[in-house]
Amino acid sequence: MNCREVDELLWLDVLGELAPAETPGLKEHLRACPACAAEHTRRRELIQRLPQPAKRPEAYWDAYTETVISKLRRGPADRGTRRWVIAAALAALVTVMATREISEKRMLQTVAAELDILEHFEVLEELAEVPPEEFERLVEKFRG
Amino acid sequence: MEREKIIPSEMDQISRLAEKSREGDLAAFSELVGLYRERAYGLAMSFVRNHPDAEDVSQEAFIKAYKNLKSLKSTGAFGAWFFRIVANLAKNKLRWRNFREKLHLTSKTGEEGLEPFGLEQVADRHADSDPAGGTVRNEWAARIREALASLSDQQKTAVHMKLLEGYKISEIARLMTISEGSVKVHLFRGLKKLRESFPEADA
Repeated sequence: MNCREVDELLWLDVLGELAPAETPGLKEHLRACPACAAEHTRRRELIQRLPQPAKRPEAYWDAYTETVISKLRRGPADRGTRRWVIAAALAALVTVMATREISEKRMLQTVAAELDILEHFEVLEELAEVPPEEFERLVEKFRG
Repeated sequence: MEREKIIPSEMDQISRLAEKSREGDLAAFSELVGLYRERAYGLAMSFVRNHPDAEDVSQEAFIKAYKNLKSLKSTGAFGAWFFRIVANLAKNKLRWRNFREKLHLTSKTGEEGLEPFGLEQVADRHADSDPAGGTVRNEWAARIREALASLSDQQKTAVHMKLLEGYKISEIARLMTISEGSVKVHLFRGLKKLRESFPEADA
């Protein structure tokens, strides 16, 4: 095992992910190679010295849970309204993208406004059949 | 770095709570939220790296989970199933954000003016943590912040999930829906950049 081969094993070891079968080979190399042994120590220190993010206060988490539960109690907008919002927003998008007379800036502003409406009504997930790549493709087509 | 482990008795409790939630018991679901909220938020943060988006995504994941509990075959598998929902919603959020950035509808990172709470904040906190040996540490904090900024989205996600959330490489692969080999590539490239920012000897 040479120093190059050991490089990945050093990371795996300090991350606690080294396979037991690899341990003897790594140990043997570290005994024979002071440079890799020093690097091993520095990597371990690097991982240990990265502090964890500060914990948020319990009051924050209580409010967090309350928000989730109150949204569930309130329930979604009725299906009719949601369908109307999706249909209207998509119709506007398609119209805008098909209209070559307006400026690109105006088109982007309209796209932004429609995306905001969709996000506001939390219906983006229902647009799985129109993924971002498709919007992108439409925009590219418009630009071209 | 280790995540809090769910012990077997908690697994039974979670399974029971998920079962009751499936029957529409919001009090039981509220308890489930209490058990998973911090890890859900942390996982979302691994992808989106700002507080409002992580909060939004993780709360949305709970709502989606509640509404789709009937599709969960075994309530004992609630955790793994739920974290997939969080990861998928977070990836969608990131895709939309990147799409908006491409259209110049929002700033480059989507984080302008927002509170940093990912690894970037860790670097900030490290800068303030040692008034006595401040200079060397401040220098390191500045360098590590630079190194973090230079990581790709996938490198940041892999490093965050491993170092701050304590996921195993195999779990990261499942959540990022990439191979373990790819996770290692992103993780080691990210760590290499952090390592380069780390001083050679203690001052």
